[in-house]
Amino acid sequence: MLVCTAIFYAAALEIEEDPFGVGMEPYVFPMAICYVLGAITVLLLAVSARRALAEGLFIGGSQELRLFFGWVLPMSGIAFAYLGLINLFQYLLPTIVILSATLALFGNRGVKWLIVIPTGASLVYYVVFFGIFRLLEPTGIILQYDNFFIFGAMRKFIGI
Amino acid sequence: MYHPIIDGLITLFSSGWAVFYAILGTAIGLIAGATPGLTASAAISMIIPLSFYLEPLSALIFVYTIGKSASFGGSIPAILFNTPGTPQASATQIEGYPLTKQGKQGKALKMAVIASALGDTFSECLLIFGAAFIAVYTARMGPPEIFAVYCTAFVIIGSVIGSSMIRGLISTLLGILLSIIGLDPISSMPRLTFDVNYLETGIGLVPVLLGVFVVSEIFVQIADRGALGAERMLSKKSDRPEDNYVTWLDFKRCIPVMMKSTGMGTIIGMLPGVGASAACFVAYAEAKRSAKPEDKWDKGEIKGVAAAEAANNSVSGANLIPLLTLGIPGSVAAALLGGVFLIHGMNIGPKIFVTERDTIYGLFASGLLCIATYFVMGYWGSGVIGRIIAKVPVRVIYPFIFITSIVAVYALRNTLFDVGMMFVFGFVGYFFKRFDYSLPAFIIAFILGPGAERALRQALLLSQDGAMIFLERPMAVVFILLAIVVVAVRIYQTLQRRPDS
Repeated sequence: MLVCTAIFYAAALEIEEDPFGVGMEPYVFPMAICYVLGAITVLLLAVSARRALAEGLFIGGSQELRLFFGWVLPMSGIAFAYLGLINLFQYLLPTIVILSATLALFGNRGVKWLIVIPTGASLVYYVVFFGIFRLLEPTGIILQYDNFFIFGAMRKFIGI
Repeated sequence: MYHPIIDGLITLFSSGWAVFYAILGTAIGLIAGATPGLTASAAISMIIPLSFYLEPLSALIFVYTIGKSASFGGSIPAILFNTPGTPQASATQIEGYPLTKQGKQGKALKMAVIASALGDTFSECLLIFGAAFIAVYTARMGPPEIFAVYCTAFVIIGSVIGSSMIRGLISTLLGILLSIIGLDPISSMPRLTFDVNYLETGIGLVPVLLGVFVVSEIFVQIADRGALGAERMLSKKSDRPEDNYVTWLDFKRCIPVMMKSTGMGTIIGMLPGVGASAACFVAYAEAKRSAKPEDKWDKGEIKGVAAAEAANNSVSGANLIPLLTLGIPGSVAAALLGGVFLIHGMNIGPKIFVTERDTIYGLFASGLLCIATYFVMGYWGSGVIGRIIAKVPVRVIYPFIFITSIVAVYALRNTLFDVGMMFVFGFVGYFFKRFDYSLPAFIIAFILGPGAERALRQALLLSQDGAMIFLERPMAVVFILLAIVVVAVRIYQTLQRRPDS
């Protein structure tokens, strides 16, 4: 939290003055918040350190770290990989892969859960959001396709 | 006698879509509330992008009814599986689950829905008949008073929500800091943007909401994988018919408790940030304190279910009063509703009763329809919802919530930057949950931050003596003193508790 405050404080230092000088300068409010936030964070550190010394507790978060590195980090890896894959292959294929990976990470196994359901569900999402709600699909760098021909005909067929 | 609520009812029932979204929102809220781990805030966060495509009244109704019915929905798993669907149902499980173990789950669920509907109706009536009256007074407030109200709200939200005052205040300040990223509202100078062009328009509300409420919950669930395979077993129903419904005698015993709890919940609901979780425990504790010798507390006392449910549902109407009269949300659900008002170009505050009269009273009327709908659904359908929840494993729900949240946030502006921001805030939410920081305080501050800065700067522009303007206005002084008293009381309580802990 202290590092976070320091980063924002450094960014607040770079805010330029208002050329017309009307009222409070733009940097005053963010800097004031940073000062208070920094002070309260230091207070929290002091209180935590005092309690840790009094109760003989030191960094004992190995279970927390194990959960974080074992499960949360792979899950976030999937999330950020999805962003990269969408940029490369557009929406549909990455969604099938990522939904399958997420289901697997949550403990689902078998062809039904890892292939059939992700494929079917991704197709449903694709038709609903990109076909009916007409979201713009991000253009893929490797795989590029235009869904207008499929969804244009579909929209005409269902009358929307 | 004429009252604008009549116009509200006409506005509501003259639009088929508004009625449809009221009923749909109620059903979604009931299911979301009944699904452990899926809070009303998460459900609303996923719905908000869709609300962009709806006309304003339908969008507001959709979000409002989800929050309202989720409050009751949380009691279903609390009673049936000893797992509260929402935090505000935590007190319900204390007496509700022992009743289920005795085979009296039908009685407990029916009492829960009766108490919820009664508490909610009282609170909604107070909102309908009292909010405009309060707004007449708050409309006279200028920027100094409004800034003082914001400060008080930040202090109350930061210091009262959660177990640690220091962490609560840090969460609040971080929320304010992130909310002012973007162009300065007066000079248009970029602030805290780290030279990222996307950040010049500020961090969007929806990526933040979905990140901290939905993605962070997915991270928490994956970290707690041990609980994912846990089966939820439904207890066998009692064969005695009177154990499966609320008898007149049960109802008569619960009337005083429900009335007292409704009053408590309504008052707590009007305070910014305190919310339904506090209300249900306060009401439960009071009902237990005034117990009679024949009561069976801790062993399945129906009065305990009635007290907790009447209190937590009577919060939902009342916490719109500070939102609509002061622009300060009383809870996360109210804050999200405030976000929908802003998305549709409506400024929340006392003048809304004049500028958006039909929409506001249409929204209030939808609250009444929502109560009637969840009463019907809950009275006859709670058992069915419980059986469905028992069958759908958590390990299947969360991957689909993940994919839905991605497409929901992308739908907003068709940009992957928002998806990335959502993941970043997912991390923020995860660490907040793991290290006991306050997510409600963070979100409410994130929504209120720009308004607070605007009020401060307007007040200083009006002032001849700088910050002294806050001490020259009596109402501003009252609010500042209130903030100081709240902090002093909280510090005193913390110091008093320390020797025992």
